[in-house]
Amino acid sequence: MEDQYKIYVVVAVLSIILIGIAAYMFAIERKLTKLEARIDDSNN
Amino acid sequence: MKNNWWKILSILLLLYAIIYGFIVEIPDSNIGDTLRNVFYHVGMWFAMLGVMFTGFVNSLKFLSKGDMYNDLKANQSVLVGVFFGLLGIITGMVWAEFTWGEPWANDPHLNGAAVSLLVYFAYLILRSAIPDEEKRARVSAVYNIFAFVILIVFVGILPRLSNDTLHPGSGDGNPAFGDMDAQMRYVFYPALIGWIMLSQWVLQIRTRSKVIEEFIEEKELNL
Repeated sequence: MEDQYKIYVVVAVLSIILIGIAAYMFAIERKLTKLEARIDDSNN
Repeated sequence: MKNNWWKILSILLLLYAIIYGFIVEIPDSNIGDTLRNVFYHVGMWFAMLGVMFTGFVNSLKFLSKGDMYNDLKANQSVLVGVFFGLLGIITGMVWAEFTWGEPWANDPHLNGAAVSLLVYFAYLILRSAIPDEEKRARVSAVYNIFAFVILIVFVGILPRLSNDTLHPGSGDGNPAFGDMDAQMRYVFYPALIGWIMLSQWVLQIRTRSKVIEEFIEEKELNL
Protein backbone atom coordinates (compact mmCIF):
# COMPACT_ATOMS: atom_id res chain seq x y z
CA MET A 1 0.00 0.00 0.00
CA GLU A 2 1.39 3.35 -0.99
CA ASP A 3 1.97 5.89 1.75
CA GLN A 4 -0.44 8.46 0.36
CA TYR A 5 -3.34 6.03 0.75
CA LYS A 6 -2.62 5.17 4.37
CA ILE A 7 -4.88 7.95 5.60
CA TYR A 8 -7.74 5.66 4.51
CA VAL A 9 -6.76 3.26 7.28
CA VAL A 10 -7.34 6.03 9.82
CA VAL A 11 -10.62 6.92 8.14
CA ALA A 12 -11.69 3.27 8.41
CA VAL A 13 -10.79 3.17 12.11
CA LEU A 14 -12.70 6.38 12.86
CA SER A 15 -15.72 5.13 10.91
CA ILE A 16 -15.80 1.88 12.88
CA ILE A 17 -15.59 3.82 16.17
CA LEU A 18 -18.46 6.10 15.15
CA ILE A 19 -20.67 3.22 14.04
CA GLY A 20 -19.83 1.37 17.25
CA ILE A 21 -20.79 4.33 19.42
CA ALA A 22 -24.04 4.77 17.48
CA ALA A 23 -24.96 1.09 17.91
CA TYR A 24 -24.18 1.40 21.62
CA MET A 25 -26.42 4.47 21.94
CA PHE A 26 -29.28 2.60 20.27
CA ALA A 27 -28.75 -0.27 22.74
CA ILE A 28 -28.90 2.18 25.67
CA GLU A 29 -32.14 3.59 24.26
CA ARG A 30 -33.66 0.11 24.06
CA LYS A 31 -32.85 -0.34 27.75
CA LEU A 32 -34.53 2.98 28.55
CA THR A 33 -37.62 1.97 26.57
CA LYS A 34 -37.88 -1.22 28.64
CA LEU A 35 -37.55 0.75 31.90
CA GLU A 36 -40.21 3.21 30.74
CA ALA A 37 -42.54 0.30 29.95
CA ARG A 38 -42.03 -1.06 33.47
CA ILE A 39 -42.85 2.36 34.94
CA ASP A 40 -46.04 2.51 32.85
CA ASP A 41 -47.00 -0.96 34.13
CA SER A 42 -46.47 -0.01 37.76
CA ASN A 43 -48.54 3.15 37.27
CA ASN A 44 -51.55 1.17 36.10
CA MET B 1 -37.79 2.96 14.75
CA LYS B 2 -39.88 5.46 12.79
CA ASN B 3 -39.01 8.25 15.22
CA ASN B 4 -35.32 7.45 15.01
CA TRP B 5 -34.62 8.32 11.38
CA TRP B 6 -32.84 11.53 12.36
CA LYS B 7 -30.43 9.62 14.58
CA ILE B 8 -29.42 7.39 11.69
CA LEU B 9 -29.19 10.48 9.48
CA SER B 10 -26.93 12.11 12.05
CA ILE B 11 -24.55 9.12 12.00
CA LEU B 12 -24.57 9.04 8.20
CA LEU B 13 -23.74 12.76 8.04
CA LEU B 14 -20.92 12.31 10.56
CA LEU B 15 -19.58 9.29 8.65
CA TYR B 16 -19.58 11.45 5.54
CA ALA B 17 -17.77 14.18 7.48
CA ILE B 18 -15.13 11.75 8.76
CA ILE B 19 -14.52 10.14 5.36
CA TYR B 20 -14.53 13.26 3.18
CA GLY B 21 -13.12 15.44 5.94
CA PHE B 22 -9.81 13.65 5.55
CA ILE B 23 -9.91 13.25 1.80
CA VAL B 24 -11.28 16.56 0.50
CA GLU B 25 -8.76 18.93 -1.11
CA ILE B 26 -8.33 21.94 1.13
CA PRO B 27 -7.06 25.36 0.09
CA ASP B 28 -3.54 26.42 1.00
CA SER B 29 -3.46 28.29 4.27
CA ASN B 30 -0.96 29.11 6.97
CA ILE B 31 -2.41 26.42 9.23
CA GLY B 32 -2.00 23.55 6.73
CA ASP B 33 -3.91 20.33 7.27
CA THR B 34 -5.14 21.46 10.68
CA LEU B 35 -7.73 23.42 8.72
CA ARG B 36 -9.60 20.08 8.66
CA ASN B 37 -10.29 20.58 12.38
CA VAL B 38 -13.07 22.88 11.31
CA PHE B 39 -15.25 19.82 10.55
CA TYR B 40 -14.95 18.51 14.10
CA HIS B 41 -13.91 21.26 16.53
CA VAL B 42 -16.44 23.81 15.26
CA GLY B 43 -19.06 21.05 15.33
CA MET B 44 -18.68 20.89 19.12
CA TRP B 45 -19.67 24.56 19.41
CA PHE B 46 -22.68 24.15 17.19
CA ALA B 47 -23.71 21.07 19.16
CA MET B 48 -23.43 23.17 22.32
CA LEU B 49 -25.41 26.04 20.81
CA GLY B 50 -28.08 23.58 19.66
CA VAL B 51 -28.69 21.99 23.06
CA MET B 52 -28.39 25.32 24.87
CA PHE B 53 -31.12 26.63 22.55
CA THR B 54 -33.25 23.62 23.47
CA GLY B 55 -32.64 24.50 27.12
CA PHE B 56 -33.60 28.12 26.46
CA VAL B 57 -36.87 27.05 24.80
CA ASN B 58 -37.67 24.69 27.67
CA SER B 59 -37.02 27.43 30.24
CA LEU B 60 -39.43 29.71 28.36
CA LYS B 61 -42.00 26.90 28.25
CA PHE B 62 -41.58 26.29 31.96
CA LEU B 63 -42.23 29.93 32.78
CA SER B 64 -45.37 29.99 30.65
CA LYS B 65 -46.83 26.59 31.63
CA GLY B 66 -45.13 25.55 34.85
CA ASP B 67 -44.57 21.95 33.72
CA MET B 68 -41.71 20.43 35.76
CA TYR B 69 -40.70 18.30 32.77
CA ASN B 70 -39.54 21.48 31.00
CA ASP B 71 -37.40 22.34 34.02
CA LEU B 72 -35.87 18.87 33.96
CA LYS B 73 -35.14 19.08 30.26
CA ALA B 74 -33.62 22.57 30.53
CA ASN B 75 -31.33 21.32 33.29
CA GLN B 76 -30.23 18.33 31.21
CA SER B 77 -29.65 20.62 28.21
CA VAL B 78 -27.20 22.69 30.21
CA LEU B 79 -25.36 19.55 31.35
CA VAL B 80 -25.06 18.22 27.79
CA GLY B 81 -24.17 21.69 26.47
CA VAL B 82 -21.39 22.13 29.01
CA PHE B 83 -20.04 18.71 28.01
CA PHE B 84 -19.83 19.67 24.33
CA GLY B 85 -18.47 23.09 25.27
CA LEU B 86 -15.65 21.47 27.24
CA LEU B 87 -14.90 19.22 24.27
CA GLY B 88 -14.77 22.37 22.11
CA ILE B 89 -12.33 24.04 24.51
CA ILE B 90 -10.11 20.97 24.85
CA THR B 91 -9.96 20.30 21.09
CA GLY B 92 -9.25 23.99 20.55
CA MET B 93 -6.42 23.91 23.09
CA VAL B 94 -4.80 20.91 21.41
CA TRP B 95 -4.93 22.73 18.11
CA ALA B 96 -3.69 26.03 19.61
CA GLU B 97 -0.69 24.33 21.23
CA PHE B 98 0.52 23.24 17.79
CA THR B 99 -0.54 26.37 15.90
CA TRP B 100 0.13 29.24 18.28
CA GLY B 101 2.63 27.46 20.53
CA GLU B 102 0.41 27.86 23.59
CA PRO B 103 -2.90 26.27 24.56
CA TRP B 104 -4.52 29.52 25.68
CA ALA B 105 -3.81 32.70 23.73
CA ASN B 106 -6.16 35.14 25.49
CA ASP B 107 -8.00 35.56 22.24
CA PRO B 108 -11.56 37.01 22.28
CA HIS B 109 -12.92 33.72 20.90
CA LEU B 110 -11.35 31.68 23.66
CA ASN B 111 -12.19 34.04 26.49
CA GLY B 112 -15.76 34.42 25.26
CA ALA B 113 -16.21 30.65 25.22
CA ALA B 114 -14.71 30.36 28.70
CA VAL B 115 -16.95 33.09 30.12
CA SER B 116 -20.06 31.44 28.64
CA LEU B 117 -19.11 28.10 30.16
CA LEU B 118 -18.60 29.77 33.56
CA VAL B 119 -22.06 31.34 33.26
CA TYR B 120 -23.50 27.85 32.80
CA PHE B 121 -21.46 26.46 35.68
CA ALA B 122 -23.10 29.15 37.79
CA TYR B 123 -26.49 27.87 36.59
CA LEU B 124 -25.68 24.40 37.92
CA ILE B 125 -24.43 25.81 41.24
CA LEU B 126 -27.51 28.04 41.51
CA ARG B 127 -29.74 24.98 41.12
CA SER B 128 -27.94 23.04 43.79
CA ALA B 129 -28.31 25.98 46.20
CA ILE B 130 -32.13 26.11 46.16
CA PRO B 131 -33.76 23.19 47.96
CA ASP B 132 -37.39 24.09 47.18
CA GLU B 133 -38.31 22.46 43.85
CA GLU B 134 -40.79 25.04 42.56
CA LYS B 135 -38.59 27.95 43.46
CA ARG B 136 -35.50 26.28 42.01
CA ALA B 137 -37.31 25.64 38.74
CA ARG B 138 -38.54 29.23 38.43
CA VAL B 139 -35.28 30.95 39.43
CA SER B 140 -33.14 28.72 37.22
CA ALA B 141 -35.49 29.14 34.25
CA VAL B 142 -35.12 32.93 34.44
CA TYR B 143 -31.36 32.58 34.86
CA ASN B 144 -31.10 30.16 31.92
CA ILE B 145 -32.84 32.63 29.60
CA PHE B 146 -30.26 35.29 30.49
CA ALA B 147 -27.45 32.73 30.19
CA PHE B 148 -28.44 31.90 26.62
CA VAL B 149 -28.41 35.57 25.66
CA ILE B 150 -24.94 35.92 27.21
CA LEU B 151 -23.80 32.82 25.29
CA ILE B 152 -24.93 34.33 21.98
CA VAL B 153 -23.22 37.63 22.80
CA PHE B 154 -19.92 36.07 23.91
CA VAL B 155 -19.64 33.33 21.30
CA GLY B 156 -21.59 34.80 18.40
CA ILE B 157 -21.25 38.58 18.50
CA LEU B 158 -18.22 39.87 20.45
CA PRO B 159 -15.61 37.70 18.63
CA ARG B 160 -16.85 39.11 15.32
CA LEU B 161 -16.53 42.70 16.51
CA SER B 162 -12.97 42.17 17.67
CA ASN B 163 -10.12 43.27 15.41
CA ASP B 164 -7.53 41.72 17.64
CA THR B 165 -7.93 38.00 17.12
CA LEU B 166 -5.73 35.12 16.01
CA HIS B 167 -8.58 32.73 15.48
CA PRO B 168 -8.98 31.46 11.87
CA GLY B 169 -11.77 32.87 9.78
CA SER B 170 -12.00 36.19 11.58
CA GLY B 171 -12.57 39.47 9.86
CA ASP B 172 -14.88 38.26 7.10
CA GLY B 173 -18.19 37.44 8.67
CA ASN B 174 -18.55 34.25 10.63
CA PRO B 175 -15.60 33.62 12.95
CA ALA B 176 -15.40 29.96 12.03
CA PHE B 177 -16.14 29.82 8.32
CA GLY B 178 -13.60 32.15 6.72
CA ASP B 179 -10.79 30.03 5.25
CA MET B 180 -13.05 27.52 3.59
CA ASP B 181 -13.66 27.15 -0.12
CA ALA B 182 -16.77 25.69 -1.74
CA GLN B 183 -15.41 22.12 -1.63
CA MET B 184 -14.90 22.30 2.12
CA ARG B 185 -18.35 23.69 2.69
CA TYR B 186 -19.82 20.53 1.15
CA VAL B 187 -18.29 18.70 4.10
CA PHE B 188 -18.65 21.43 6.72
CA TYR B 189 -22.40 22.06 6.64
CA PRO B 190 -23.45 18.38 6.71
CA ALA B 191 -20.95 17.87 9.55
CA LEU B 192 -22.54 20.70 11.55
CA ILE B 193 -26.03 19.25 11.07
CA GLY B 194 -24.70 15.82 12.08
CA TRP B 195 -23.10 17.15 15.28
CA ILE B 196 -26.19 19.18 16.20
CA MET B 197 -28.42 16.11 15.81
CA LEU B 198 -25.96 13.90 17.72
CA SER B 199 -26.04 16.27 20.70
CA GLN B 200 -29.85 16.30 20.63
CA TRP B 201 -29.72 12.51 20.70
CA VAL B 202 -27.46 12.55 23.75
CA LEU B 203 -29.82 15.06 25.37
CA GLN B 204 -32.80 12.79 24.69
CA ILE B 205 -31.07 9.84 26.36
CA ARG B 206 -30.10 11.95 29.38
CA THR B 207 -33.62 13.36 29.71
CA ARG B 208 -35.29 9.94 29.52
CA SER B 209 -32.98 8.42 32.11
CA LYS B 210 -33.46 11.43 34.41
CA VAL B 211 -37.26 11.04 34.19
CA ILE B 212 -36.85 7.40 35.21
CA GLU B 213 -34.56 8.41 38.07
CA GLU B 214 -37.08 10.97 39.35
CA PHE B 215 -39.82 8.34 39.24
CA ILE B 216 -37.72 5.94 41.32
CA GLU B 217 -36.84 8.65 43.82
CA GLU B 218 -40.51 9.53 44.24
CA LYS B 219 -41.32 5.85 44.85
CA GLU B 220 -38.62 5.64 47.48
CA LEU B 221 -40.01 8.69 49.27
CA ASN B 222 -43.46 7.13 49.42
CA LEU B 223 -42.28 3.81 50.87
